[in-house]
Amino acid sequence: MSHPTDAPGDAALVVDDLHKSYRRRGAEPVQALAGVSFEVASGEIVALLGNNGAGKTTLMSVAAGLVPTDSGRVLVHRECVTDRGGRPTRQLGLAPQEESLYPTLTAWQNLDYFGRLAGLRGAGLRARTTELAEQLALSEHLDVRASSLSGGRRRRLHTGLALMHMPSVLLLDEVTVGVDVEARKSVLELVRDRARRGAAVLYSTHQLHEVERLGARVVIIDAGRVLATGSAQALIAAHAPPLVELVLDEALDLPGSITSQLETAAWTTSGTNRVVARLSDTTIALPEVLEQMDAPTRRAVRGATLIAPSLETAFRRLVGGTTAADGGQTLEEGP
Amino acid sequence: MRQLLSICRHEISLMRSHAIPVALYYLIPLAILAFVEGGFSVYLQLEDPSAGFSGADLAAPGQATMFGFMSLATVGFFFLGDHAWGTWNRVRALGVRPRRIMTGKLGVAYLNQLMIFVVVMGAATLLFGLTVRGSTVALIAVELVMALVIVGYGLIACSLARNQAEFNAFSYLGALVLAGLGGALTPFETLPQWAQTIAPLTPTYWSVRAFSIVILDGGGLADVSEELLVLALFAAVFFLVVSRLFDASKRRTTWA
Repeated sequence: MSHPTDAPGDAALVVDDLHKSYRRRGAEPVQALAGVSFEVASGEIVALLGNNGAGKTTLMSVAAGLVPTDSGRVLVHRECVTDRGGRPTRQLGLAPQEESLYPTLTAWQNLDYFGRLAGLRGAGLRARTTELAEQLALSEHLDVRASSLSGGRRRRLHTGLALMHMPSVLLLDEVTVGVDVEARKSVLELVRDRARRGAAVLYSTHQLHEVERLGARVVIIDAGRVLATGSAQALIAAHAPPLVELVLDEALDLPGSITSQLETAAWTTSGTNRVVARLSDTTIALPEVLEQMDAPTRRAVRGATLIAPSLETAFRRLVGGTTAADGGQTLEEGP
Repeated sequence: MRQLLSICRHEISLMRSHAIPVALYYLIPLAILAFVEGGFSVYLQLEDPSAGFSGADLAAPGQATMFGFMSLATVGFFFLGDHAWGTWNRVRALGVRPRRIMTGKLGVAYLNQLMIFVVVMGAATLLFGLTVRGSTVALIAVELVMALVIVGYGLIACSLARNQAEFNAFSYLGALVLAGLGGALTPFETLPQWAQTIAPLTPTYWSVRAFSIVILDGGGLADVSEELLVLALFAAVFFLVVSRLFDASKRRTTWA
């Protein structure tokens, strides 16, 4: 399938002021999307980040034309897919969050069917199936029923079904959930490859380290609203200054005095014996931090770690929740 | 059209991947025929000792009809499976309209109905001495319309059922209640009076009646025109109901 070239300012995927509420009998409506807007250009990967329930999957479903929107619109190469309550287009490739393939059919039959539905036929279909199977490292398993494939191979096949017809806009919803390292690597390589070939990719994930590996621009959403957009570097610079974590002797009541002693610390948060200080000086080294403390305080320090700025920190500061990588801990901002 | 053919081809692949349960809907009616053919034969002998009827003349089309309804369970399994497997939305996301997906699914279900009829009637001819005394064209016409009725009924089940248990209830209702009331399980005249009174409200009554006219009485197309018309009306009503009921976005699953 050809990739329409976007005119300047005319992105491949335009999400424009989307609103969507779910109404259940006898319950208050739940607002899943509350005015979400962003764009994805051809050849660009946009990582959609947000906690569970933030609205990512609803956004994907609306963008795919599967769920009607209350207001707002989604344009795919200027064609509105949200007209008349939802109008899917073949220019889209969707890999939903849940694994979705035909378990009793072989890997080949799964790929073949989705290729046929998208209009591929004959030698072109066979060539595309073979090519994609190689990219998915499934060539040796094409005659195996999907239900008999390992979890990682099933996940690769699941992602591959969205790529079969080489769509110009890809919607990938947490496609690496539960996959092993190798499968993740090959899925990410496939995504990068499609973007290199001009596809616009909207990639939803909880795995923040994947964002940098994909070189993706980031859209962070929470409670159905866009909280921040930009490159990972820009979000880190704006929302994730370096932190220093100090573990103190539990017997001493020192955390309260740390703030006044660390001249470069903009704020701290403390547990019983743990202090995390945000440093306003991004170039400071750990010994310099310790030098700012008086001797008794320094002696009470059992451990000190300089935490490099990261997208995870930025995300946590913006959303205030947890990520897959942080083991469920939540940072609380100090005074 | 090519997309529709792809869907049909895919449905056949799914059926092949579940060959044993699908095959049972062909084999079980033959086994039941072996049990009930004698009883139907006795009944026909009493009705007309000189006609030389075989019990299969009356029992075979009834069994084919009943297992036509029964086989809707596989239609339900693949339809609900599409939702449980997540492939329903995935196919829709490719720009394939729900109407087209359902047309493909039910096109194959329709062919399956015809195949069950051909296999049961063919085996009944070879094994149990079934003889069609009337017009083969009329026989085919009745089956073509009745298969449409069964598929329409299956579509209503697809529209209403949220899971396999509910779907199976619809197919058993069709197979046992509708087929029983219509005279597909036992000769119509042996049904209680109340059942005979309400039987004309079921499509099976009209199909069994039409089959009897063709197979036993040697009737032709003109002789079953009334039955064909009523069956066509049932089909039209079923499809009209479906056009109002079917919601492509409804949450469905298999057994959960």
